[in-house]
Amino acid sequence: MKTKILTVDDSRIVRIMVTRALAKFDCQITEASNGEEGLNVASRERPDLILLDVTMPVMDGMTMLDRIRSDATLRTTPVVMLTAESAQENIARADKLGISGYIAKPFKEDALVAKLLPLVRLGPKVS
Amino acid sequence: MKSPAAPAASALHTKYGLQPAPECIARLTQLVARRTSDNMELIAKVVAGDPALRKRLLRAATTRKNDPVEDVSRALFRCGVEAVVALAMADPLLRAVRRTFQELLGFELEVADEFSFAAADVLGLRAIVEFSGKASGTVFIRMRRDLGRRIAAQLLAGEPQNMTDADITDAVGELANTIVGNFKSNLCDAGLSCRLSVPRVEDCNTPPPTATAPGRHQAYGFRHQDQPMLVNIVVDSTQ
Repeated sequence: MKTKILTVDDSRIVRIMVTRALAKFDCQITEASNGEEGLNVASRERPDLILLDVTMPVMDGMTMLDRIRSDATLRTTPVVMLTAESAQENIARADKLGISGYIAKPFKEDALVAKLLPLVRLGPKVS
Repeated sequence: MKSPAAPAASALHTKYGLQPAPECIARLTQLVARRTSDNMELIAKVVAGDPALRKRLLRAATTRKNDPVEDVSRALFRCGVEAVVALAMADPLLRAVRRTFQELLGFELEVADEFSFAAADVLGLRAIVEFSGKASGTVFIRMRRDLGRRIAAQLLAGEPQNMTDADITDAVGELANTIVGNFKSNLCDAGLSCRLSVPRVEDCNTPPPTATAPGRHQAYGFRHQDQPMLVNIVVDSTQ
């Protein structure tokens, strides 16, 4: 079974960068452009990991993270924050909600992969 | 007076492998915490110990070319303590610009004098991000469409000539989001909690804003190869 990764970011550019970074791995990437859409996709797809931005329209990443932790079916899903918001107060809030990683933008694609490798199985893509 | 020490990485920064806050944040924190008229002498010492901040303050205080202000205390009296805080906010902003260009795009960015190019040289695109809270204001990032096209091509791993208007707008928007997001995080760490607007990117055929109160509007020029870029910060208030 392919590893499922959900990217929640309002920037199409970031979603494309994440997909490109993980293109060589045997995984399925799904996308959402805000927290509300992210929750719907997460409930439907049950991803193995969620990459989550903070500042987004409709529902921000912290609210989505809070909802994930209150949802019986999603509460154990590893969440990695991927955001330009790296103030101490943001990191502390996310840490309290039980995140598995915090990646500050700007990020390099290989650094993103290095942070995800210990968290999910990322085998090479089988052609 | 001792210069501010580089802040140590917090336990959370270490836990998540994040870079500690830059040294300039310690200076901004010091200014934010002491920005009352009672502390004028102390603030003058902080400014005097930072050549870049000193230069910015003296420039802001000089309203007539034939009467340059060369004394920090006089400049501080003329501009006010809040203007010094606004001027010190430029350090984290400039650092965020350089870091984002280098790490997100792999582009070398030279610092250029804002007066080394005309306002007409940076007409084309403008990204606007507002911040509001204990510090409120606006950051403008101006560039020609050609630079926007190169940025989009780099982020989308494509050829510049194949980039659509939507690609350029999205790429410049993400660039602005990353720059101002980093800047905002530094302001929060210095005690100026604030929120950001979603970046807007628009065609821009009007020159940058002109100075209002001294120190409240700053402009910084950059170049990537032959392409100029202008970053303006307008600080409305700090609380």
